[in-house]
Amino acid sequence: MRKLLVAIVLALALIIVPVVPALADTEQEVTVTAVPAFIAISNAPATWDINDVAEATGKTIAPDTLYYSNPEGDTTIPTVGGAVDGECRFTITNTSTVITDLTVLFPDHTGGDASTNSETGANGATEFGAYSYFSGQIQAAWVVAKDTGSAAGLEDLAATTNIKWGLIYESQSDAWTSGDAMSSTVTITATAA
Amino acid sequence: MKKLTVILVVISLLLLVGCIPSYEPGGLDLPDNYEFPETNGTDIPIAATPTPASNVVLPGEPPSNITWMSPGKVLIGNFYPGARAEYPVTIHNGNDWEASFSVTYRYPDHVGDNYTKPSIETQEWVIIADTTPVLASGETRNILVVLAMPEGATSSSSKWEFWVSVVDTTQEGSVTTELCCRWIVDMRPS
Repeated sequence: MRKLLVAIVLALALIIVPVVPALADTEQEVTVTAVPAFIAISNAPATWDINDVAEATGKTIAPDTLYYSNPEGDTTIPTVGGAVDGECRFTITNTSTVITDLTVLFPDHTGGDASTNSETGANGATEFGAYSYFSGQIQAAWVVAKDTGSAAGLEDLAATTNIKWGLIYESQSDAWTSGDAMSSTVTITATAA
Repeated sequence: MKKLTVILVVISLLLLVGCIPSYEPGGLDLPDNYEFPETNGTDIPIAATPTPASNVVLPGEPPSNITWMSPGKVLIGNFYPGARAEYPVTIHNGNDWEASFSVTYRYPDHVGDNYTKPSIETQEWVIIADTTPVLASGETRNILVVLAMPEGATSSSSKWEFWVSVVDTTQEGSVTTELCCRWIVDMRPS
């Protein structure tokens, strides 16, 4: 009987040993959790012809010049103490159900001189500088609009709250060479905050 | 003594029964021999088909004439090399017209506090069931997204993030919108 007991205890020990890591594995299963939310924005108008917002159409763009998507003037800087709605060309209609961040990307141009984004906000030879601004933001809060990897231009936009915004473009510092038009497509991205 | 023996035998049997692994269904409906191809994360068809158009209105859903995507965030916990996580991104076409969308892996412009941007290889670990869905006006569709990290791969840190981008490619103009779902990954402590 004693031998039987020893055998059973030994068997129990052999069973328990492999169970321990199995329990540990269970605790480390991959978890997937989705935050239920809807992300939805639209933007209007969907165009910006630089230097054609406030003035007569068909104007050319000079090198080494700052332009704003400001309905009050193409070369008029928005209020540095806080841009107002009237100085913002674009309106984001936000039907997101959660707080969101908005990020603006301004890629390199194609065609013409193919001016590239300096990624610093300042212009240079063959490089343009770009910023985004949102209604209510002071100048220090305006964010560099990069080709890729911009910081959020606006953080923590409340759910289902619209916002007006604009773009700043500083043309390349050196003279144009091609004389042909160039273009770029700006993207504004919404992500859950 | 006999009672003790019986008790030990019963305990042994209970332990043996508890050790039998249980099967938990779930995941992709893929063939047993399916091998995930090497990919840039943008154009790999998966056997699982997207959920067809749905007339179900989800709680809190925006009006039907608004284009939206859901969820806003997917949180992955205890992830590790060799593991796989999956979750669908849901897209609704609020246009009056049939619209094509682009659903792609997106290197994030910025990430949350204490998180890093992903390694370059991460785009090869993300498989999107349909990267160019075409949705009828008012249609809602699920597109499965799978994060499959190879054995032996290393992540950029223990906490990292990538995005899944949804763009309505029928948008016109020089200022367009993009909706992104954040995938936030916490690696299992090593």
